[in-house]
Amino acid sequence: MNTPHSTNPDCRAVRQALEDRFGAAVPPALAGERERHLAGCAECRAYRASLQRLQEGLRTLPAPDPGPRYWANVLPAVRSRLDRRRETGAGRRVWIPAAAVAIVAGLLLWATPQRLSQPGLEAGGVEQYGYLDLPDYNRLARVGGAEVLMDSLLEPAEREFVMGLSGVLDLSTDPVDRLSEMDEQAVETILQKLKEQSVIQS
Amino acid sequence: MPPPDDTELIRRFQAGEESAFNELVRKYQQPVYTALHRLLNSHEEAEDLSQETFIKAYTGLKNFRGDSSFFTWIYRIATNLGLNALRRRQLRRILSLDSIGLTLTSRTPGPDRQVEDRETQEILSRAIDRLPPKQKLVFTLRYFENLPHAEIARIMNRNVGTIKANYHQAIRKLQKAVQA
Repeated sequence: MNTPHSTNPDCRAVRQALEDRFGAAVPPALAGERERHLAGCAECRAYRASLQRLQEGLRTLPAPDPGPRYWANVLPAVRSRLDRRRETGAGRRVWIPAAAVAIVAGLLLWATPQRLSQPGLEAGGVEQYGYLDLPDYNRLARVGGAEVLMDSLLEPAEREFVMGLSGVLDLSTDPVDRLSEMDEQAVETILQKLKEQSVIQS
Repeated sequence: MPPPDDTELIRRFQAGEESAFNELVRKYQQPVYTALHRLLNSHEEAEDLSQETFIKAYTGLKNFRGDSSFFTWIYRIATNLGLNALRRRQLRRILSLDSIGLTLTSRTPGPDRQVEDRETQEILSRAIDRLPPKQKLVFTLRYFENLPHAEIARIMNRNVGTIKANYHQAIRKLQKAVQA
């Protein structure tokens, strides 16, 4: 039974410790007490063996290697893109101006009074380097501002679909992550609900 | 003479010395590309987002205050870009708007071993690809990039406990895939 969810607290502690060390070039030894447990517990030894098999499998994955010519071209490519953006101002397209985010988020807050108790936006953190930090993204998601981000991530048809979901689901957390973690059956159920509500067509 | 450290290069760039930025690109191009390739399993996307990472770094470096190390900062930019690409890709897969091909580069072991390894590789690549974006990012940074949990926590602005939990969940999902 190679599962970390043992009812025995000693087993759980040993398996967690094994997972902590997973991937380390030279895994530090387990504490003496845990080593002794391992010596006397066949299930924990089987768990360790399954981790070893996983590690062996992972070692066979090839390392990314684009070749020496690639490295010589990175800097010229970056410089060239920087020059093009300076000339055309196209770089501004990928920025999400903090003011726009704040305005849209404000409108969303105004339009949905039940969300007023949620944390507000701190626009300064959004624009700092022209991209969204994860906490900013999550803050946006909490107040509904993730819709703004959707514009930069999704094609119009995809965006329409995801926005349709908000009528069916409580997307109180990051909607894209929520979708990513759903299994196929859950997605089927959602699709069915959307069809019933004519959000999408069969 | 030892090469200048990041702080020195940033100081020189902020003082107007453009070539200092070139040195930062040369120093970090490999780790940034490798992390993005591990995350996205695509040379084209890793190449594009690596360049985008350095463009964003160039834009932001003038205001870089050194609250974190340059290493943490550049990884944060790269992984944010990678995570967004991953979210978009996973969303597209769920919505069946496109399919994701596995791109395994060629390898050279003997024929028998080659078949066996290729099967394992395909199972693992698929399982890694199916991890939720944040778990995949944590697993990539911890296992492949060998970064300590604390550094990953700084890059992702999360606490160490969350990072460890994500890592454990990723391991268990990969383990299940290998056992199946």
